[in-house]
Amino acid sequence: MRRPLLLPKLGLTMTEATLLEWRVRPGERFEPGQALALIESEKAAVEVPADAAGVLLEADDRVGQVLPVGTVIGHWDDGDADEGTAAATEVAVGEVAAGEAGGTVIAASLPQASLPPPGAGPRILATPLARRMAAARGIALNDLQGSGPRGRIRARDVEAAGPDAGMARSGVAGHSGDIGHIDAGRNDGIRTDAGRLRPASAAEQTIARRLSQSKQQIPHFYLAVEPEVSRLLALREELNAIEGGRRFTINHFILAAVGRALRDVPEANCVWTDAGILAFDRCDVGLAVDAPAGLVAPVLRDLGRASLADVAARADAAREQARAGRLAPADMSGGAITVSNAGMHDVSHMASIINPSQSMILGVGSVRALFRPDADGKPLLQREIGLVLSADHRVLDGVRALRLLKRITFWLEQPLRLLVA
Amino acid sequence: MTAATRTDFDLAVLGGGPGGYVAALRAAQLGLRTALVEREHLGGICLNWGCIPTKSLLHGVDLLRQIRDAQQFGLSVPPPVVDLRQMVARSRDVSARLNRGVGQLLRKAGVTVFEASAAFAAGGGLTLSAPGGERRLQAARVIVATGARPRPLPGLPFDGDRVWSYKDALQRDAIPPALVIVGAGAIGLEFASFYAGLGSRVTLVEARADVLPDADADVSAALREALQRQGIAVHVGTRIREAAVGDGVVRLVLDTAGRSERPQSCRSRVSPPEGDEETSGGRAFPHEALTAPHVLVAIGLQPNVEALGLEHTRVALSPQRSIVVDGWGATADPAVYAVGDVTGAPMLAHRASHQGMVCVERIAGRRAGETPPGAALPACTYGHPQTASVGLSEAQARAAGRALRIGRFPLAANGKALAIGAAEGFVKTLFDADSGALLGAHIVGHDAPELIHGFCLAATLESTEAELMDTVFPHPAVAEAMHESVLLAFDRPLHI
Repeated sequence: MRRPLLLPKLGLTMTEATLLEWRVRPGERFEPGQALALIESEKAAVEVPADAAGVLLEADDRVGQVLPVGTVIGHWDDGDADEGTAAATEVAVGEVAAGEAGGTVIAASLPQASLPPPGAGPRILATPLARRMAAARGIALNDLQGSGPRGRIRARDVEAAGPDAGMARSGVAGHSGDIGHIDAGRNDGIRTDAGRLRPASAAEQTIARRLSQSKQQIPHFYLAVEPEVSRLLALREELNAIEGGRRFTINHFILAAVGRALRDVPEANCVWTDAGILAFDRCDVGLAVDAPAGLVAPVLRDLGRASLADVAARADAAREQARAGRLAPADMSGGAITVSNAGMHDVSHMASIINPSQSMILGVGSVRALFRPDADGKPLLQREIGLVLSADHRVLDGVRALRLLKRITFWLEQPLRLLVA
Repeated sequence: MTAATRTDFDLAVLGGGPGGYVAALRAAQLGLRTALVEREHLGGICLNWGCIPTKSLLHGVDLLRQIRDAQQFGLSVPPPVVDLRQMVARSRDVSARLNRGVGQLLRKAGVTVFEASAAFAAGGGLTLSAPGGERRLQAARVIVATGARPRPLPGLPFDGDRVWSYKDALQRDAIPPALVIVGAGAIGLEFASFYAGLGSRVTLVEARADVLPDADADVSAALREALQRQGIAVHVGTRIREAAVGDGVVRLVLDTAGRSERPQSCRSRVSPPEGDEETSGGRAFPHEALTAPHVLVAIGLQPNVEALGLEHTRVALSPQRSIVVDGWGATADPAVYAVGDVTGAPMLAHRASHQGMVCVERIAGRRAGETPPGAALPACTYGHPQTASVGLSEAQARAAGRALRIGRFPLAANGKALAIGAAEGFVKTLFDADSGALLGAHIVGHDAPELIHGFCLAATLESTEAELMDTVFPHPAVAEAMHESVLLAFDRPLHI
């Protein structure tokens, strides 16, 4: 029977995605788990896997457009003649990922805005003009409060959301009349006085929008520490010297330390959502990976007690999957924190932008050797890593964030404990 | 209501015109205990002395014009005889019928109607005065919808004989041989069309730069040319310098200094007429004298804010003496709202009704959290030819600094219009070149007011050119010109 294929909700805060391309064409047969389409959401390009075998009947042609979660993007035939189970296999919309992420929503009875929270309804009410203007300005309709009847988003709501960020207008003042809209399908760009103007890809637009949104909406604050890691480096050397053993990276130690620190400081393991503050039960930690398609952040589950070897094995697997573009959507959702390591690029500190659905990101710098005064004021050679924790001040105050950071430092400066605790 | 001297209501509406009675109906629908106070006619000026009766009269003249043109369709008809009394009587019948209808609607809805004048009392509440005596009325909220009245020309008060207001103009028993109309807004234009159609020598005098001065310049120009073709002497940029009644005529002295193309007065000052046929050739004397048996003064309307006891409220008035309101109809007094002409321009019945509905829904809590709707307000005139507009004129759009896309499709290229002999006019659409937003639409021609709602819907739904282009218009229909105008604005017309 014919069933709708809905744009799935793949993450806790995911409200929309860009339909990047179809992997299956109408008329083609597919198997369970096979990728039907590629979509992009929250900085990551992910595949929409088939729940069951079937034949794709129709594929939406809005490729390159931002669509709300729950949009019908196609229809498929499950080969089953009888009716009855349609609802069960439609991609569930609005199932808030509290359960999926193993957390509980607290303070869920906060005052309701007149719009349902994202994820509560499948359809965004917006006028054609509002949709067009939002797309041109890189504004997500989900972020807007509609002022029209039944919360319909009108052009003025998009205007109120911010100035026109479209490069076609602001970037080439004096030429706007000639250029008009840049055709997204045209990659050759347009010659201007200042240089060549090319349209941003759907992926670039998504990343740009998500990052701007995060930096604009999340009140970031930053804490920096410089753990002394001589012992960690020594331990790592020793472990890596074991014949046939796993090769550990500094990042493995940091991931393990962050997982344990979250266990020690559970009050920091929470995120802000429109419905309330979500405190996670599990100590999930994201890992920023520079994949060919852009930055992605697979989330390693439940690192609170995972052994260093386990952390290393899972981090390596996730990295490999990310680089191959094979991460499943669920692999990238959840967690309050991501570790972003720039240590290989010889940078002392990195203050990062929090991933949109999370509340913290730990920027990791390079190991630096430097002299510090010891107790007697004599120079002492130290090896330090600059850590900068960016935190969302809506859910974390300085004390709690610092407590977490101190705890991360504790685990890094006493690395043997990572092996036994 | 019978003997009660004090009555409690959730809402009292002062004025039973299109703003007031619609507000009262909507309030009753929403479960508010609602009173409506009207001192004269349910339905207000619109229904009794404005929109409705004039449409009956103008339709009569349209028919007359068609009968005279019947020859071109192969019909031989003896010359028609005009009976103005009969025309007026019909228009009065229509008004009376609708007036009764409004009463029935209010009764059915459960609105309590008081035939009285109302005023805010010093100690709170309202005092209702009727020939039968006074009574007090208490209401939690009050909507003032008392409308507006014709503004006289300074020094030339209305007398119902030589100096007419619109109310005088629509109940004559004889066709005047000549008529000077001061003010070329909707009212002035419609009566110019009406009396010229009946054979009066009509002179139209407008202080501002063109007829229908707030309209798109293309609309004004088309209208002016059409009026002149009908034999109406049109004087724009012309003010009345002096005016006096005597010896059975009205004498006017015109100040034509502003006639040179563009006097940029944006105030709705009045202007005056000029007169004689001899001057219509455009000899630009600074002053011209003019006499006529009758003058219709249609220079604008004055909000009815007097004798309402507004001094006992915190309601604020604008310099034009209209009640200052926000987009919901709220005044400076939290218990008092106002809708319609009493809140100033544009003084249009459909605006008043819309304001009334929105205001009541706000009062009833139905629109909490919303921002006021910025309704796309159409404006129509029913002379010959008819006009209808919504949104910005080209000049307004340009002044806003928008890059525009403009389509102007002539009805002469529309099959249906040609077939029915109504090829005069055009459909003009204005779009924002960047966003594709429909900024304005202007129609001149047959049944323009029946067409404009298509663009009102498009504007309200915030359609872009894409939705309008994708809309299938019926064939054959004059409305196809709307589609073509949009196509033309984006350089892809099919039938031109």
